[in-house]
Amino acid sequence: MNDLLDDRLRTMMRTATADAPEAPTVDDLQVITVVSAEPRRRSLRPIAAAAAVMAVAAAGALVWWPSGNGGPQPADTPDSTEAGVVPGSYLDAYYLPTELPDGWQIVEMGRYTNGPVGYVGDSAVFETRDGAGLAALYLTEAASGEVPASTEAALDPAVGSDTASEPVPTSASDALWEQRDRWLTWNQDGRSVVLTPADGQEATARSLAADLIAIRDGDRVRFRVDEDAAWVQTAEYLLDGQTIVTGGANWLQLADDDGTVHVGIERPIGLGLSDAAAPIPGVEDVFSTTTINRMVVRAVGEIEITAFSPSGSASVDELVSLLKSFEPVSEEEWLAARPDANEVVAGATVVGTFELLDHTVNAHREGGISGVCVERSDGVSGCSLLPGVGLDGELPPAAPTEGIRLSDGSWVAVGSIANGLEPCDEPLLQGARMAAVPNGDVQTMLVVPADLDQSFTCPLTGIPDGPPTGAEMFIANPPLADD
Amino acid sequence: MSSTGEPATEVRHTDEPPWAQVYRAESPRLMRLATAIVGPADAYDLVADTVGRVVRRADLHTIDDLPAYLTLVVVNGATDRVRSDRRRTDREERAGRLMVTSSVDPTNALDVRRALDRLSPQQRAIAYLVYWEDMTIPDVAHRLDVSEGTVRRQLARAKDRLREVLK
Repeated sequence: MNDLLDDRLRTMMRTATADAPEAPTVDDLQVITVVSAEPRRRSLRPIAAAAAVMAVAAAGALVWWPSGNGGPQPADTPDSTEAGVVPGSYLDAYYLPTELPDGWQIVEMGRYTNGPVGYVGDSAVFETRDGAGLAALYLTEAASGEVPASTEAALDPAVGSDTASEPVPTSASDALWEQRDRWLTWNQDGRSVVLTPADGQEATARSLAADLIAIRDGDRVRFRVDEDAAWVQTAEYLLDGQTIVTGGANWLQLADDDGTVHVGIERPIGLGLSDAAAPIPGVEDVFSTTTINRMVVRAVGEIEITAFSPSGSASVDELVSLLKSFEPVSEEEWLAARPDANEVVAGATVVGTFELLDHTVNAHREGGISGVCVERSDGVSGCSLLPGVGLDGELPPAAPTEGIRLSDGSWVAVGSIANGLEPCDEPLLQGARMAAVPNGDVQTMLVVPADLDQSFTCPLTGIPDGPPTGAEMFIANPPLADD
Repeated sequence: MSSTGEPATEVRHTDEPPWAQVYRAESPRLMRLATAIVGPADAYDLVADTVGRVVRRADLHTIDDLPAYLTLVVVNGATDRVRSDRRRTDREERAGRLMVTSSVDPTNALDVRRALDRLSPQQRAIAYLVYWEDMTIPDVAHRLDVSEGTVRRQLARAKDRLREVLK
């Protein structure tokens, strides 16, 4: 049987690669090399992220600012009118302290860039009153990407279908059962609804669908069930608007019939993040081969985690245990977990070492974890996750956007900038320095005094064929003080 | 190099970057790998972007196994692209088309593309290296900088996912 499958897979791969286009020529690559300013453009993205966080703050959302007692301290907020200074607290990573239940295995973790960030509340978990049944309901925008202004528009079967090969039902009673994915789906007021029962049975899904009552709340759609219904909505397993400050799961999708689930993890918007962050690749190795039990995620948006259940069938008990592991923690617990990430970095294999400004910089990489540890000649040291450290220890081709808190309270930012760039030739900050080493891209380090506890931008100069004058590099402030 | 007294033919070669020969030899398989993961429409951009960044590195000469390194950067680059696109595609398919892949003809390009979309980027890369390049598990692990256990596990998952539709 396997031989036959192997043969078909070989045929499949032949088919999949048969229409491979011509490769870029050597000349193409050289031209691209000159034209490409990707690292420089990417380095500007954190500014947009900062602006987004600031916008959230301006809208009245809870914004946490680092201080001695850990509480909101408006007086600590730097003067936002000061040139080049971006107020806000930007962490070097997003740590979601959790311990996966026995048997669960995370096989993939990815940034959910196209998702409905901040969509908390449009997913729900329902249980039967006897606890024997569990189903997840997930709403997202219909394919049109627009929310119709009226229910009538939503009832148009053509909405959300660019092929109209099969009309999308617009009520739960007409919902389509997808046997392959074992979910029930329909459109509701311009939203795509996906209902996945834990037991994978159509009858279970339809019984819940029959109990659901849709509520239109502005441009959002929610569902509730009557008090005497067989199903009840459980609130404690998914985030709501009050708990999002520390992040956690905000949607669940039971996507496959082999016990695979997808869990959406919302970022802790109240704590701030850097867009330079990225999911750690190969996280499966971290969870499966080490004793690390802290989940470490770096992201500006939502994270989608794909996990396999212990039994391969995603039983109710297993799913509940998984969701509970993603429940939000207190701010104190969240912060207390952060040093563990540094230990993770320090324990990974050193793949490169170089000297910068009297500091020894060790690049670490192992099992999907990569990062940088910095040690000064007097023993002061610190580490930080840094996705993208290369096999030979080269730092990722991006601006140094994140700080590493050293043990004496000062901090440094290290990073790699494409050849030819000369960032911060006139640093805005007293004490900030930079250096370049001749191998690879320009390895840059900024050493910042301990009393400077804010993010800032720095102008970029000397960019041939690069962005126009006025381009800036955003430097995230150091990790929060642990005191 | 003319100052060193080397022959004229050597001078002509030095006009080309030192990585050119390796790239020319590797580019067909890199393109097939990229096509297997992201499809033919995006394969060129993927290879141009990822390899283009590698070859402009000043320390390129220090990379011991450039073919393996180029494989890794293409797979990593593909992973970033696929991850960002996948959920959108998933949603669109769910909400708009509700297509059901009941059976896949392994010789039909469209069928194959849809089937491969069910795999993670890493699973696609592993399937390509195993079933097209006939690489061993240890070789794949080396190429992708992952453990052999990861390769075995992901290959098994990929086969599980494709077994049903390849009936």
